[in-house]
Amino acid sequence: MTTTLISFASWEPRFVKGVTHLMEEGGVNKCVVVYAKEYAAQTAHNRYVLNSEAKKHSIELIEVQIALETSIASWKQLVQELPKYVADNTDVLFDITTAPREPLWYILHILDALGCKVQWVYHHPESYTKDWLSRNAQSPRLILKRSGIALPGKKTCIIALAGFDHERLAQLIERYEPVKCFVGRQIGKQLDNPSRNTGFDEVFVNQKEIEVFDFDCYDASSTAVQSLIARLPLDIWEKYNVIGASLGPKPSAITMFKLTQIHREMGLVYIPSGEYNPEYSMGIDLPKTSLGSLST
Amino acid sequence: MNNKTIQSNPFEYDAALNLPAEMLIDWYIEDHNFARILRTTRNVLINGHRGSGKSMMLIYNSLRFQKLRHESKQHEFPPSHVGIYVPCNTPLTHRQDHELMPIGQQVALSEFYFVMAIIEAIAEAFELTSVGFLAEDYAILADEIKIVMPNIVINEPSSIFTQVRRSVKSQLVNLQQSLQQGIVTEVEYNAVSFYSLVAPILSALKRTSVFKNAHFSILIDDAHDLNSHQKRLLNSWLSYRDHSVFSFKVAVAGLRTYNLRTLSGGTVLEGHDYQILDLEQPFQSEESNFAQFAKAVIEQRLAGVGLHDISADDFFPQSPEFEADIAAANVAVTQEYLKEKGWGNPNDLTAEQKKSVRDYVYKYGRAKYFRERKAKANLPTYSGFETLVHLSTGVVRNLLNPCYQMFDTIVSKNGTAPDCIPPRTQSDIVKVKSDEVWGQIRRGLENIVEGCTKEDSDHLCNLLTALGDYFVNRLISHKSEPRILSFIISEAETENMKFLDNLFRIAQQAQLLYIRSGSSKTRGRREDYFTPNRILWPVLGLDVNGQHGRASISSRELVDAARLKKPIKSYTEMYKPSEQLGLML
Repeated sequence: MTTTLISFASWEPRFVKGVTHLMEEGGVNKCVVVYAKEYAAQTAHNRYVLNSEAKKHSIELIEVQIALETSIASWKQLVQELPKYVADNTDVLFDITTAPREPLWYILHILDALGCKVQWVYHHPESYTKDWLSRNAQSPRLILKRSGIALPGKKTCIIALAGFDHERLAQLIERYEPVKCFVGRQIGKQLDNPSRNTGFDEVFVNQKEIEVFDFDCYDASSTAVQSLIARLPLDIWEKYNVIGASLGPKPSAITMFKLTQIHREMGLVYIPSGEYNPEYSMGIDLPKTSLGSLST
Repeated sequence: MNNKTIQSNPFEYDAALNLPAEMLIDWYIEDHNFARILRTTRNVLINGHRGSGKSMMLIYNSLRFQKLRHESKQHEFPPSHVGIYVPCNTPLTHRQDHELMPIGQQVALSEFYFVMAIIEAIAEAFELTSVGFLAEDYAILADEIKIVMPNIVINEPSSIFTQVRRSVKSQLVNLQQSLQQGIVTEVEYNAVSFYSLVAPILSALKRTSVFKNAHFSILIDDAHDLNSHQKRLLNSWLSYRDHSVFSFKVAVAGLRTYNLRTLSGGTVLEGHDYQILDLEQPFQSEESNFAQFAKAVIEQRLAGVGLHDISADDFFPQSPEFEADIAAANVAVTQEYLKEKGWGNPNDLTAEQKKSVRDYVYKYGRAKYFRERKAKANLPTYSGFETLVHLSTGVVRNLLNPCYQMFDTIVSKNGTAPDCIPPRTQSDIVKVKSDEVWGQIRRGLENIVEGCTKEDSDHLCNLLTALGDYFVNRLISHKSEPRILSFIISEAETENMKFLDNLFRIAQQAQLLYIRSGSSKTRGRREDYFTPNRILWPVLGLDVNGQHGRASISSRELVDAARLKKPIKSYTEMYKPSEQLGLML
């Protein structure tokens, strides 16, 4: 069995180390590296290194450049390029580690629409910078093809899997003025999580329209998706226009995507960042790697 | 009331759409909200900052609330002026899939979404509100609706609006489902236009016995959230001159930057196509509309929790010590002035002289108190209803926010509803709020305000800090207008203004700055003036009550303050302070 590996280029060490590791494990015959035009210079070195690794393992490496600036641009480029390399029943391993959530969801939608069999993998870093991770938040935008089914006359409800950056959640609430929010708060003691959650609690816990629950955002299994659904009132889909946001660890984007597979009424929303910290993360923690399948 | 456990906080300030209907009706202050203008048959653009009450005004004037008001307050019903509330901050408006299509289809799909939202709003209003239609009225409506919505099935005329809603739902669900499929974007739907669907239904409603003398207002809320095609469509509708059946009342945050182009490339014109209802009103004096409105808001809400006979001034009392200090400062400056002028007994002065004394005291009385506080003194006490009004900077949500916290603090502490909020509690909360705002500015606005970079955030922090220092310096040493807290921009050079416009946009979005329009000293002209949110100033020890007038600061100085942290020095009439002050320089 041969697999097409898809990844999203970054300057982070875990990008090149993670993809190299997947190549070394065998079974990959083709590697599609999507990269952002806006960060082409910053990712050039890592892409060069990866090219050498691909040659070493006799793997065909294809680069696909997209522009992150608008949803339309990135969607059009992905929908034009990806079907050239994958088709119905292709086994795809998608390394989501450093993919921004909007192209991540577009890639998942395209692969799903083409009938690919998709596995995903996420590489944890050894640590994150203690400084800011990303900033210069842009306007939230609904994801093309996954904007849900909105009806006038219904009020808005947000389901968010939140991470460290509680200001993003506040931004979302400010923007959409939901009457109800269900917020999954990351559990665990990893990567300074408890102290970061303290700020979160101060802002959101005990707000009457916000229901906060603990959730393992790294677990994107079908069981986790079902447990998320179990947290929500049964009538939520009929009663509200529901918007889903993944603001926490990257695998939570898979969870939210799977939720839209079950509840097509829910739209996915993405808040682009204008700037990422060049020292975003350090190293790679291979034993902790998260992975799973896209099927629900 | 003292021993009564309180059920709810009267200063709740949630978004209007999220407030319970009864609460909204109880809390709305009709007289001060331009009800007369809303009831014209002309198009109206309502301009207001976030939190200025635009949504509340539109919802209050919508059909469902007109009925509720009839039931609770015996207001006219069926109304002669029917409001149809159409919110735009919805996920349907925020969809962007139309952009995947050629331009003509983008416009058609955008119009479809918008028209469907209006039809849903009409149908919902009449489905949920019994207006007393007769059988022949339903027949008129059914005939028209069958023509404009040919696929609709109407078994029972009285359920016509339910059928319309079902049809809208079904069309929107089918369309959005098809947009979700596959990787190509091709959709089939029955394109509609405002004039092929909405206008005929409104005309049919006007032919019914209930509404034959009525006018319909389509109340478009948050129009700034519409996509660019929808904004141009709406503007095109505004240019339609026949208002015999309907007109639009459109609420926008930031009218000065709102695109007024129509679909055909023309522009809608004030006076010709629409009139403006501006909620961004001046608020400086106690007699201002906003001050009166604020008083009515607070007193109506207090009455709602059983505190009927308490005035806003009694519920938020001024600190007696502060009051006495200000009185003493006023007496001192009066004496100074009388001595300077060589005037004797104040009672013997002419009317003109008395006015001159009053003006002098207005300018320098409070200033003297703030100037002569000792360097090591604590911050002044910020209490009293008038102070809270000034702190709000003319935005009702800014008024309610600290009041909510104050009320909550007392209830948490005592478990009972307070008869008043002690000055100390008021002042503590004001200072905490002021600290919080500066804390957020210093942490950065780049994760809060859309399109704000770290650099923008740093520049804005520098600018607000410089403005704070500037106002402090003015208070200490300016000769004629020491307590000014607003400014205009002089020497507005293009490059500087481009830079400042971006910062001001961010500051407005973060509710740190309010831009209003007022008459300028140049005869007959109007000018924009800028007022930083006054909640910024308590931690600096400034007098938040301010005074009439605007400082003139050059665009170059503002840019240098933002970029280079240079102090702003745009004033000339100075006098040397006589002693060290308690102001936080």
